[in-house]
Amino acid sequence: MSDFLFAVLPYLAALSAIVGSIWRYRASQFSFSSVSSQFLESRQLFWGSVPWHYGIITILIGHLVGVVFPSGVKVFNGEPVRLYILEGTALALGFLLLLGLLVLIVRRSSNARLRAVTSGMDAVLLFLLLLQVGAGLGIAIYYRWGSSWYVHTATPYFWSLFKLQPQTDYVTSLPLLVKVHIVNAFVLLALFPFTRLVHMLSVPLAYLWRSYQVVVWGQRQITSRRGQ
Amino acid sequence: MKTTYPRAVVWGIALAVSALALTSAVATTAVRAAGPEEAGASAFAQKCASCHTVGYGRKVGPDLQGVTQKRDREWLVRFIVSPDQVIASGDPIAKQLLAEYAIPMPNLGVSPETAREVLAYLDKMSGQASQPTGTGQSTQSSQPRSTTTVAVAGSATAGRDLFTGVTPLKNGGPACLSCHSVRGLGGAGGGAVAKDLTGAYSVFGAQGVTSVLKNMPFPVMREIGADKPLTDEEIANLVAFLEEAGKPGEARPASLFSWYLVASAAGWLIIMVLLGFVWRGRLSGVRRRMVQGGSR
Repeated sequence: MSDFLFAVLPYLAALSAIVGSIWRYRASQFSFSSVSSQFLESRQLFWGSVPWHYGIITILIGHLVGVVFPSGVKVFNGEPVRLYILEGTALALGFLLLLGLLVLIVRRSSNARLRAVTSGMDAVLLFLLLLQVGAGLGIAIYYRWGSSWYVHTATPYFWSLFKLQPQTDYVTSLPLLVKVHIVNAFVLLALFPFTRLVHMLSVPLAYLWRSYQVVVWGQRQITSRRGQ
Repeated sequence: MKTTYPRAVVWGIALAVSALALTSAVATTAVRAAGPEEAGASAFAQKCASCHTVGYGRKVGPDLQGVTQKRDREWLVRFIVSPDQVIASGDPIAKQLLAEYAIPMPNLGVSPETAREVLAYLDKMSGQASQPTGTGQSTQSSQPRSTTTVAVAGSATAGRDLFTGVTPLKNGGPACLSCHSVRGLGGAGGGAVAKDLTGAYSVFGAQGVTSVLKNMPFPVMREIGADKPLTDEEIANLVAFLEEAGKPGEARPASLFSWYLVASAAGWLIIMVLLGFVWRGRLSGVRRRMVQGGSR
């Protein structure tokens, strides 16, 4: 069973993500979107979407840094005070994204207009994300200090997957909550092309360096001036 | 997205089959040693020797000399493969052993085949009862017969720095603090993913702790330490630190973990206030402003 979950599932998930995304791009290019509902409701969206995205992006980058620069993380955490600051910051961001996600879930389920535009897959995705965030926060609190042991367990495990020689021993003896976090990450990866998560691939990064566009409101004033 | 799920499913199945073939090909790389006894000897040295001897008396666990005659073979295989399950099942022998040795044997991830090889090795060693210095004994022969405490030459202060990570381990292993805590570390304490080591010295003794640090018999630690062994000096210093840390009585700084949680929650609140302040107008007014503009 753990061979399937940790040595087969990751490859299935990666293939599903890659092939599924290509298939969706060819079949329905303009569906690469998160299908904004801001027009229907924007107050709650701010307190959901903004904390969620700032939290999840920083936390995901943190996970990535641990895989790509494990020795850097090790040196940084060599001084316990730095370790405590890193873990405390990550935990604060974890609380932030949990709050954002809860607001988004409440928003989707309480507003009739939003329920009308919410698909079954949206609900599945919100549930899986809540499971993932809950497990992550549980690990941060009950199985500390993850930022240190991650680079000696998860990092070599991920690299063994990349080298097509999966060494599941690194993760099979970790606590159940950690295994749930890992397996659920693969499930999310597998579902990626079939959910609104695809909007990650269509982030308008070019907005960061394109020239400003000035949006002017108040055509009425212009016409009334002309009328004078 | 809504219409063509079946095609995605077909793709998924095709990919599942190819991925299965790929991984099973990758997985068949295990190489077996020549005879079962030799394979058993190396498995014993790797997984058992930190807690057991053959003919050298009790260590952390019982001396295994003659165990293959004393116990039922299938029971032994079951116990070696999944001691945690056998103990949890309320097995009377396991219960009695636990009462006698106080430390439950951890699940070491031994396969039934390897367990049989280890038993073949124990058969052979038990046959040589009168001459316990036979082949395969190198791992134990250097160690004294009993678990009596040996004077440790290490420095507790140096050990503390190794434990916390202030002094990096020579072969690149993680600082103990990553996973373990110990009383009196100060700050927010050590990790909580593995056992608190405050009582480790009093349970295992210098000999046992040294053996555990040398052989790393426990799951997770075993995988991490396989290619990053501790040096003898590091082990001596860590043993001295654990001895010091296990001594009762002295006043030590308490762990501030609850304060760490409070600080994280405070950090979260600060971020929330900042978000609310910086983007007080964001995502909030397009339609309202249009309505206002239109009704002017």
